[in-house]
Amino acid sequence: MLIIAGLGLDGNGITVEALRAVQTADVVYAEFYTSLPQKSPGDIGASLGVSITPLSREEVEERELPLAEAASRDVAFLVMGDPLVATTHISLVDEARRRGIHVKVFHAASIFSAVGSTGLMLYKFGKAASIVYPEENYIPKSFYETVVDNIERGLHTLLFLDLKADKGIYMDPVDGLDILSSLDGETRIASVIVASRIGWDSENIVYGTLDEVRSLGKAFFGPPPHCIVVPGTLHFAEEDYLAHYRVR
Amino acid sequence: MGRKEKMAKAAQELMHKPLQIRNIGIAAHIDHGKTTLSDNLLFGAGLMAEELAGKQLALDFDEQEQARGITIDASNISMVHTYEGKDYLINLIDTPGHVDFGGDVTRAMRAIDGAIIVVCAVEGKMPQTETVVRQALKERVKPVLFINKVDRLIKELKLSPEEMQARFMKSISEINKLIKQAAPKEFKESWQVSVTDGSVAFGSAYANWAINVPYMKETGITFKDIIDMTNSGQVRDLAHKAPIHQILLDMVIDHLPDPATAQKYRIPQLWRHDLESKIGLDMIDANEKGDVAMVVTKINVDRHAGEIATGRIFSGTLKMGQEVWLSGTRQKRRIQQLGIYMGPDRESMDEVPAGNIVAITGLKEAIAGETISTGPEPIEPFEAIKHYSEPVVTVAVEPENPKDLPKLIEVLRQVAKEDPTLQAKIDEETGEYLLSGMGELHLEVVEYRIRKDKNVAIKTSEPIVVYRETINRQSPQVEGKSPNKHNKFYVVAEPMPDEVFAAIKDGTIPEGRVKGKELQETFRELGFDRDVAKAIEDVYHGNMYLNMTRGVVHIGEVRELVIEAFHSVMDRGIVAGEPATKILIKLMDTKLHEDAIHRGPSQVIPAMRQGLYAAILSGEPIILEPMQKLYVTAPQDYMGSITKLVQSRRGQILDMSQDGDLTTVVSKTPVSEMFGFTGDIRGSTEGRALWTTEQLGFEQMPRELQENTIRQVRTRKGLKPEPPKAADYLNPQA
Repeated sequence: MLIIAGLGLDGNGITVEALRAVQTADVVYAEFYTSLPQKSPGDIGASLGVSITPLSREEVEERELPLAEAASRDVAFLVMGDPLVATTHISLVDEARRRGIHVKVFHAASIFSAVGSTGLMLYKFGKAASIVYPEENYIPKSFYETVVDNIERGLHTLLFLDLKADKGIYMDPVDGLDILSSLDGETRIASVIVASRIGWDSENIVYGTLDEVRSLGKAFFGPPPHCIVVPGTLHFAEEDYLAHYRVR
Repeated sequence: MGRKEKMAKAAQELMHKPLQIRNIGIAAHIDHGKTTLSDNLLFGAGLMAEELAGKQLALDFDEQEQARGITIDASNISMVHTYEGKDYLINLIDTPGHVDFGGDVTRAMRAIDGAIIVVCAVEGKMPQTETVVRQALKERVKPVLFINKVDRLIKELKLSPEEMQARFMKSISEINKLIKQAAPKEFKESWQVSVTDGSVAFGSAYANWAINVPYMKETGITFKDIIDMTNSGQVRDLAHKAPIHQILLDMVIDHLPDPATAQKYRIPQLWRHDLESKIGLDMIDANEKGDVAMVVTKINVDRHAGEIATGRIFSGTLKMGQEVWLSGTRQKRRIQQLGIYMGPDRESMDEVPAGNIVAITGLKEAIAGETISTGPEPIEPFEAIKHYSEPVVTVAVEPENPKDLPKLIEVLRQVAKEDPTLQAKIDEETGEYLLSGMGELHLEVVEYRIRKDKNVAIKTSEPIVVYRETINRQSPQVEGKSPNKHNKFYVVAEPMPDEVFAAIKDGTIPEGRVKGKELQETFRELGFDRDVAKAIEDVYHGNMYLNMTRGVVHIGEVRELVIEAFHSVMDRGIVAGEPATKILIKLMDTKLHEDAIHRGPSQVIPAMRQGLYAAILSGEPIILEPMQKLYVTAPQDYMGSITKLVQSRRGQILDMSQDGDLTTVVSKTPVSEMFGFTGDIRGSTEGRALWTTEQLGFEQMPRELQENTIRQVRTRKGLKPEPPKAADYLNPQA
């Protein structure tokens, strides 16, 4: 059996039900490449009372290690956030089903719902996207087009920031805002929200114009994870709530 | 003031009078006497003693050139000649004739407006005569003809005046036929050479004399006089009555165009951009007051001066200390020195105007073919200089002393820059430094230079043949999937039609990204349907990439990555790691992940590569090997042994012809079988054979040899001997 369990926003958010399942598993894998936990994998394992083997993206996506023994034993695979929010894990479940392996998924909190902390209504979010660093021969700007499409329809956009966990690269919100700003020649983006470490002890949210928020500087925002939200048309309730986070 | 200084001073004045300038080259088959002729012209200009002319080979600067008796680099020289009471500045480029050095000839043609084609009276038009004449005509360089070694007709073949004339007419009509075939439409007739108008001369560069019909009429010298004087040992008199430098330079001034005239029809061919623009008009008018536009035709590395760029100025005036643009890198560089060549020496000048050939230092990053300009922005580049042949032989080079490795790397960079037909690169898998060239001789010369001129002791491997990979039939549509399984690319590979491949090779279809709509008509004429023609996005090393997808929203964002994967697979083929060629790659459809983070380089490139590998492996991949046309001439007695030798090297006899006692055997032979041929032919003909080769491009290797060759190449590269199979790359569900 394959047990896929979410670790929630900071890595400590596993549900009681999931914890019980994981504790009975023969082997426990985990991935930390889709987001970053507040505590180390070792500490997480200790608090769950299991020994965790972290896997790389390549080991999960290409070699499909969690599936190797799942036909004969109970394999737990721990995932940051809510497991099936990440498209890549749906592939794993898909492959497990193909191979006739029984799969049990335990959900947990995800930034997709926790972004509600900003005061924006989840009903009004449009397509989400990631801001990625330009690379040689790859200079994407479709995420900006997504933002503009959403704004035109009055919708908010949740923007994830590029990360390459194996290289220790986590995009800083200032870099993300710089990239957005460089694409926003016609200033379609009126305001932005940076939500840092949602669900962590040091959670922080700021709201302001793109330039106001950007000029707070990298030191202000602190360590990852962060995400950026570009609000669409605001309802009065949203506007009232956002005032708490207004840059002063 | 010495003769040379005087001439430099005169040259400086003439530079500003385009009508009194001729930029010319001498081009011929190997050993037909180009360099000897150049020396005679130098002598005439007072730059060399008379006795040495014909013997000194002053333009063969290189010790090595003199030792081998052949010319390797195209060198140039400026001289002043008086014709009908007026001084003219002649800028002369000497070009090598051996096929292994063909690249130099091609580049030299860009700098000149006219060429003296030299043919040997005994041998007539030879394969490389044809190659160089075609190269000249393609660059719109006007020819005149010099029939050399006439003394051999008299002394060795003992021909009568009538027989001699009949020989001349044969050579002339062969050259004229070639001009008719290869000249641009408007010049097919007007560029025909003719005995009566004096655009053909006869003579002996070795004996320092030449003559043409107008001069015969003027002086009353007849063919009979020439025969008599040659036979009675009065050649010195003949040389005084009909000095070769005078006859030939008169002919050059009379029949070859001045730069102002030539640029009017050459610029539209060499610079295919907006001719109505200011710089376009300035180039057409050779306006010395315009912005500078110049093309670099050669880079030499001088031990003292560093990198010297030689080239032709088409517009403006180049000045010492001036800042210029390099179009290739869009960078500015300052001209440190400029000057013209007076034989082996450079004469410094403060400025050199349009219409001249100039040597400059200070352009560190410039390469042969580079476009140089002034003005607010770098100008659009000149047409790429098209090389007629590509490297076919490779050696691995290493320093004898490992400490010299950094030095060797720098030297390899330099030699590759001086000679763009050489390729120097690192094999990423074996870490070897590889040097590829046009033939065994070409590489031997380069190795010699590295040791001698650059002072690096090196060891080289046995030469290795360069192969190509292609496919024999169309593949089915196959799928490439990204590591995260969320991006799919559907690819078809097809053999490229011969006409399309030929159009890429001759430059009708330029390599690189297809921009705008200009080429659509060419594609249609070559047989592509309208929709397919529109899909052609990239031409790379004789292969094409077509984007046949429709309505894929984010295709633009991954386009460069797809093309990067296409390039990498074409650079290193899947079968034996050799470059792929003559393949059409069609991307039929693609499915992409919704978010940019999941369709970046690490996903798209492997997916596309998998699709490309699967498609090529499903298309009956095969190996092509380089072929040469081999001409061996020897006394008839040796015909049997030559034929035997050629056949033992998988040679296919194409033609045998006889001239007097001499037999010429023409064959088609794989380059891989040519190693060590020099020694063997000498052995089997007691050193009596002359031989030359001509590149014929790549042809399919016989089936029975394919498998073994693939295994050998793979083993050499440290790959497992068995090439992969399509099944290794096909997805089960595809």
